[in-house]
Amino acid sequence: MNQTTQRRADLPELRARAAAIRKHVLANLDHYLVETEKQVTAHGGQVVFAQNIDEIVSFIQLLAQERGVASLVGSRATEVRNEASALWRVVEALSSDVASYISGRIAPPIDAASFELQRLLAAGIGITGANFVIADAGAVCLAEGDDFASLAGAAPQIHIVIAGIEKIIPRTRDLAVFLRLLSARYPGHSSLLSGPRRAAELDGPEAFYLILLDGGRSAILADPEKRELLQCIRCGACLESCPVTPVGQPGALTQLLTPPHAAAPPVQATTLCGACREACPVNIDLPRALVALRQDAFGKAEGWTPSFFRAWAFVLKRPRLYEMCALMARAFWPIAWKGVQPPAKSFRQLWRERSR
Amino acid sequence: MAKRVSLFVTCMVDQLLPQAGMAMADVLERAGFDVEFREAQTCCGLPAHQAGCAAQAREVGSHFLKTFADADYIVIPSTRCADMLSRDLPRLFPDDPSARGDAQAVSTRVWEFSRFLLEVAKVDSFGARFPHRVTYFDTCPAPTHSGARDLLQRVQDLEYVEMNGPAECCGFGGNFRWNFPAAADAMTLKQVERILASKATHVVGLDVACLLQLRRALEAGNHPVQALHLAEVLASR
Repeated sequence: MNQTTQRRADLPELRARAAAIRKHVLANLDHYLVETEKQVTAHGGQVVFAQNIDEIVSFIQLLAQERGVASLVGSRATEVRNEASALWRVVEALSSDVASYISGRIAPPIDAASFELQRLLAAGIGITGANFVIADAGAVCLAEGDDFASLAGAAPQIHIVIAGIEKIIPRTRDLAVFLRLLSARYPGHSSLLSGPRRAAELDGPEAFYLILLDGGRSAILADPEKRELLQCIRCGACLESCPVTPVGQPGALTQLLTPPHAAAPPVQATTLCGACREACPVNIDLPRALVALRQDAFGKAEGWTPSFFRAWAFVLKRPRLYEMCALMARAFWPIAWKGVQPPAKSFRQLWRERSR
Repeated sequence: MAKRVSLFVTCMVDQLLPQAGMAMADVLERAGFDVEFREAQTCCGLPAHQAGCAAQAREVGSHFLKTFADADYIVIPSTRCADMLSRDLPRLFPDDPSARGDAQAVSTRVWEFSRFLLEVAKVDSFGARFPHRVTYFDTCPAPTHSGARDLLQRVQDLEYVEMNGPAECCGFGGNFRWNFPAAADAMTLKQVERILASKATHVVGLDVACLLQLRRALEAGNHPVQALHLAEVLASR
């Protein structure tokens, strides 16, 4: 057992607690979305609900336009498209917050010095992704690696925080559970922010927007085989545990980190060994979700695979036919297993001889 | 009256490692059980399930359920097939409450071999003797089956050694081995290096797929280390 595994094994109660909180939030998400909006508004902030990333990009562009950031709304059509697509990538990275911890492993890192963010910042607009949205406090928690520290410290006049709707946790005290699980892996620091600057405060933004992104999440919530995936707190423990990644394959787990969890080809790059399930601090049955994605992919599969499995099942439901086919298949075992010879007799042959 | 156990030897043991199934039967008989083998058995449906082919996994799974509907204890020499039957099969019938109920009922009577010995048979000694230096290869899902070490350490004259380094998958993973042969081989070699570093003469596992994957790599490298199923060690005298 290596050090990380040992440390994780020390925390079974914490993991059970974390999983229970995440499950509770997802089961009552309608309530917590309303509560979050109420509390953020009470603290002087504004909540914006977005169906997809395009809507967020439009919102930011509009805001930038109002602030007179000319380059974001360039005069030529191609410029507008390029700006939009650059901003789209930034928003996508921020909304999944994978960038802050595990960037480079699945996506190019988006650093705070990126051109788009810098230009917005110059105009007084700061954009960050939240790790947690705290319903009872109407606050957001940014558990920062180094990459976003400079942005948070820049104290923009307008602060936009982007978070998937699943990032909500009920109470501030729940951070004691989640930050411990995160910090067990990634020592860093975290900031709690709520609303714009109050009258007596020395700093803080003039306006505070929390953009809550659906982006396919409500559809995942309705799918019993994938719902659990929204419990994810983006700690990266699964990626670290995966034995496939270090041998040069982009592992299938990368498909599970960011909604809407499309079944792209890497979903085949897993042995389903279950190491990720053991590593997950919020007890997500990741192999089960990987199989669900493979089922999606299989539904669209063409070629010989569906026919193969139909024939395979036809044979395996008929024990005598199975025995006959297996006998014939023996000739192919040394080829499939590169030199491993099949034994002279099958188990059922040996068993019949033994019982005689 | 002796309790009856029903062997589900899995298609892989049936075809590729029958001696592991025979050894399992011996050990269970020595532990005082009546052992039966139902000829109608074939496969648990795992290959189709892992490929994402739910319909055919369900068909083959249903055949398993029919075959073992009235079995008290179903003992299996494979961690992955046992996992398929106890964890995954009931979920393959989301819209069929009656089949799901059957699957759930049978899933509680499914036992991976080492866990059956530890949790049901609870026999301290099997009269086994195996005068060799042996290490245990953590068979996935690893923590669920780590008790196999205890069973090995009860064998007379067996010198048990633990491997160093993190326990990881052998690289088999069903169609993974065929889809990503280079990655699979790299994973297997990593584990072979751990085995060799332990200086064990025998490596013991709980799943035929892993054992064959390891055996193939050990033979390819001309390493005189044997990959055995736990049952084969417990049945030795």
